[in-house]
Amino acid sequence: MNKCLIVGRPNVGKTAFLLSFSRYLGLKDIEIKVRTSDGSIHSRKRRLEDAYSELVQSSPHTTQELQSVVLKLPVGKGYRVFELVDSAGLIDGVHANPVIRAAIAQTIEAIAAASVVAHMFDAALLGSAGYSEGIGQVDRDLFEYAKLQADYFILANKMDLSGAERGLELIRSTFHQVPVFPVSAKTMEGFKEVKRHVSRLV
Amino acid sequence: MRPAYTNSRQIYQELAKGNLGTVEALHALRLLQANGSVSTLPASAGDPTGKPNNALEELNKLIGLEAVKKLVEEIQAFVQIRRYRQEYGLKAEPLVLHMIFKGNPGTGKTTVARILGALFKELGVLSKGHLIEVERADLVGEYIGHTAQRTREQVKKALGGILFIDEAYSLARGGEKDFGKEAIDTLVKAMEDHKDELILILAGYRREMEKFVQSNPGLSSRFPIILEFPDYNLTELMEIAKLMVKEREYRLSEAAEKCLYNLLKNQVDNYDENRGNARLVRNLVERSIRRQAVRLTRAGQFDRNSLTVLTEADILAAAEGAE
Repeated sequence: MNKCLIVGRPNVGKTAFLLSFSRYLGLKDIEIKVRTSDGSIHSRKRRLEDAYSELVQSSPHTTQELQSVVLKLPVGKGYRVFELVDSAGLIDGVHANPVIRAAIAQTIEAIAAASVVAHMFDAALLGSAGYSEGIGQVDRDLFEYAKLQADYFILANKMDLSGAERGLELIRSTFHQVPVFPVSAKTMEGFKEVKRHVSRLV
Repeated sequence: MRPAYTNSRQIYQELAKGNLGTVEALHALRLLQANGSVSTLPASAGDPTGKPNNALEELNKLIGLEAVKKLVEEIQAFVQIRRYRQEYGLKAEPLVLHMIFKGNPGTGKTTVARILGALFKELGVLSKGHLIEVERADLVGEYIGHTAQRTREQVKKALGGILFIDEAYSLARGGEKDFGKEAIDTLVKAMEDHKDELILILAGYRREMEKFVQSNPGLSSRFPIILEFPDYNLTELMEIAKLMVKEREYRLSEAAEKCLYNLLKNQVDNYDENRGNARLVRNLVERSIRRQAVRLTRAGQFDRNSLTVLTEADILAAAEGAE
């Protein structure tokens, strides 16, 4: 089964996107397969609402393993099945917590195995007035590496928030010749385009 | 100076240990890739761009079939030497490689035919080396003239490869007026017309094949290679099962192995019509793997070990489902 891996910094909304996209494709209950960095696998079945409150939090590094759902996309007269994989947030340097470090290593390793990589940004944060750091080094390196490994595209998330348009512009002017999709995991804005794009790739 | 990494596994480990930051790790990975070094994908992942599989090696991996292996080696040597003789301007025997395979179902006839296709491609005898498997129903038509047309269609599909006719004697089944005769005639003509781009293999039960060849005197001279596929014995069947299990990254528990042995022994001892049939062993193994999956899903709990072990219960459940 083809894997579409969502990567990005902590708190850009990777898990929220996974859940929202599953809902957008019509799921009410989801089965999340969790693969921890020490190699064990288990699966959890949840109602979507419960999964939101359990998995999506405003603090960074909530996700510390690969969690994936199997999704069906209508293609032609049939369906194409693929695995959408959510991963641990990436930071520039070395994290002090070994658990998070292992999760980051697992995420980087997963890039080589994915057929599609969706690189996610928090467009609202990038565009907010008080934020001066711009696009960080890890995102630039991720872009350079991931586009060699897989079909690569960018998700500019949190488009429902103010300032996100500016962030989107910054992303588009930094990364050339790759598709950039403005989306909101909250309002499902832009999901139609992502769905169409992903069904072509997986 | 940062150490140079020779594979990506090292980089992942250093990243997890905290000796590398994410940015540095991504740099190192890109560098590694730019230098074109080996990927860390397991070999089993299969590399379609890699060097061609050695067909002979694949054949030698098969359990048993010693006579077949020996004959194939002879054919390979003959083909090679014939080419060198041609280069030196010596007389070269015409290369007639049509064959007759005799043996019970599940004794490896189709598998060997497929490997031969690949081997002849490697040797440059066949351009494609693919296998087209047909039986009477694919060749024989419904009205006069239809059979020749259908047979020619199959021959056309097989050009550059091997046309494998299973239960070939069924073509001679219906007597003089049967359309099967027409199929045979068309095949014989195709063998002449396309002698450099087609290999024909007739396969089926030993006794029936022998009768078939005897009753069609033109055939034996056109099929100079005759391979006999004996039934597998108990030891070989067990080896086959273990190899299949291992190739799929499973293993048999001790009790499961004993249980499988008894099941197979029972078949062999009772002259079951399926004794010595490797296909049934494969089906049994594959069904056990599915039973294991059901068992694990029901238990809802598993680790690396339990994911690989096939237990006695899996084997028994699989055997029960087979009857």
